[in-house]
This record gives sequence, structure tokens and C-alpha cells, in this order.
Amino acid sequence: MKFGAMHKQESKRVPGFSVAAFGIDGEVQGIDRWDFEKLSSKWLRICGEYLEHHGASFDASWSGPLAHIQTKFTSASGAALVTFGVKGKLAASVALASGLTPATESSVLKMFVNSLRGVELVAAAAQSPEPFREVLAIEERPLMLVVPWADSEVSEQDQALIRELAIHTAGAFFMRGLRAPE
Amino acid sequence: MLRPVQIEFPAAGLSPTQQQLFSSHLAEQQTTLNRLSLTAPSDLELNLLNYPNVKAQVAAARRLARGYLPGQGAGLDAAHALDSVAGGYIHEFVGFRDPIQQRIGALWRTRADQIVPGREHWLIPIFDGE
Repeated sequence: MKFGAMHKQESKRVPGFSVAAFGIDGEVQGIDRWDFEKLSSKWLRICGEYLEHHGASFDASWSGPLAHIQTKFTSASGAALVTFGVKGKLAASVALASGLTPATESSVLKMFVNSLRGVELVAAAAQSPEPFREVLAIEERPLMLVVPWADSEVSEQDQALIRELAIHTAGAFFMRGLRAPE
Repeated sequence: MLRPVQIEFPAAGLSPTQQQLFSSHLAEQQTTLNRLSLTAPSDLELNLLNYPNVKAQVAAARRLARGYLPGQGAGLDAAHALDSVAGGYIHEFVGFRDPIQQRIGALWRTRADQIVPGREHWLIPIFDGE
């Protein structure tokens, strides 16, 4: 499957980002685009403050009514790997690629794919010899890649919360242009 | 030559448009089933044997994944060329289809045991008054 670059002309002023969603079998479920203006400005601010508070790499819980949700975040040169969990259960794996440093992003995305292929559940579900192969072929930037895990112990309500947190965290990351310290 | 295996898919209460969609998707599945059955019967047999519980989680994860998209696929379901329960490859999607195709998936659950790898199959839609 080949993915065209629908939104390549956006390097200077980024009004949004593309999102590619994958099943746990490694098959792409769709690629679409979120405009920043369609996201909640309140949640973009909260997620931006969360990223600013914790820095380029962290493993931390949210606070208040979201205290049961954990986020593990590692970023470098405009790319990031993120996992969202609920009470210790993995809920979603995310990779973010801003388009700022293609070589670094390529390396991060390969790491993302390799880590996913190493998951036992993926190995059991995938019938393609190369699950998540499309990850490395998608040209859109900025790009959010997401794999929700559908753990039965994570409630639908929490899945919906994770979805909002993940999308707005991606939006905040791309808007702020967070980079790892030199 | 053996006669094709005929498997009926009754679907009551569908509008003419839904009947057309149902028949169209069923024909798509028949083509894929026969391709597998006649050219790769061992694959079909293996897929039928390997249809495990993890598939429910795969389906749930796919639904969740599509929820991250701002509208794409809304109201449509990712459709298999042949449902997994009927021996189709998990990864072989034909794109998004009307939710009516879920009726076929549900019917397959009580009909997959009629599949005979190596034989040709006819999947026959049965509507009201037929």
C-alpha cells in the first residue's frame, strides 16, 4: 500500500497533523487529519503544560480525576514515543513524528515498529509477515501513529479518555515543537 | 465433478438498497472463499483452525483505532475480503463497507462449519418472500 503525501506543504506553519491508526494485527485502519482548531483548546493547554512540566522524557501519572492514567514519554529531535496506561494496563502506543529531522524520525519509527512486532499479542494476531509495515511508508508530517490495545481490563470510558489525551498530547507536542535537550 | 457447496445467508427486514449491499458483499466473500478453497485449501483449513479468541481483541482494537480518526470510516466498517471466522486472512481487507456486512459476519458464525476446503462454494442470499 502506498501512501501519498497529502499534506507535505506545511513545514512553516502547521495547522494540524495527520493521524494513522493501526490495529494490533499491524494493519492500518485509516489515515486522516486533525486540524488544531478542531481540537479542544483547553485540553491542548493542559497537555502542553503536562509536557512542559515533565520535560523531554518521563514516566508519570496525570493528576486529579486522571490520576489512574500513566504516560511514558520519550522524545528526541521532534520525534517521540509515548505509551498510555490505565492502572498499569497498556492502553495505547503512540509515535509522533514532526518532520523536523527525517533521519532521527526514521530511526525512531523503526524502533516503534520493532517494539510492536516484539509484542506477543501482535505476533499472535498478525498474519502478515511484516505487521505495521505501512508505518515507514507514510509520508505525511507531522504524523501521529497510534495503536490502541483494547485490553479488556481498560474500560470504554478510560479508552475514550486515553483517546482524547493521546490526540491532544500529540497536538500539544506538534504545536510546541518540543525537542530533547541538546 | 463435485457440486458446489451451497451455504444460505438469510437476511430478513432489509430494504432493497440493503439487500443489494448484502448481496454485493456476499459475492465478494464468495470470490475470496473460492480462490482460497480452490487454490490454497491448506491455507483455508489452517485459517479455520487458527481462528482463536484473540480475534475478538483484534476487532475491538480496530474499532478503537478508527476512533482516533476525525471522521474517516465513521458509520462504515472495515470489511474483510472473507470474514476471519470463515477462514479469511486477518490482514486481507477490502476497505470500508456498510455496517450491513456485519450481518454476514454474524451468519458465518453458524455456517463456517459448512466450508469444505478444496470445494467450490456458492453463498446464497435469502431475503424476505424468497
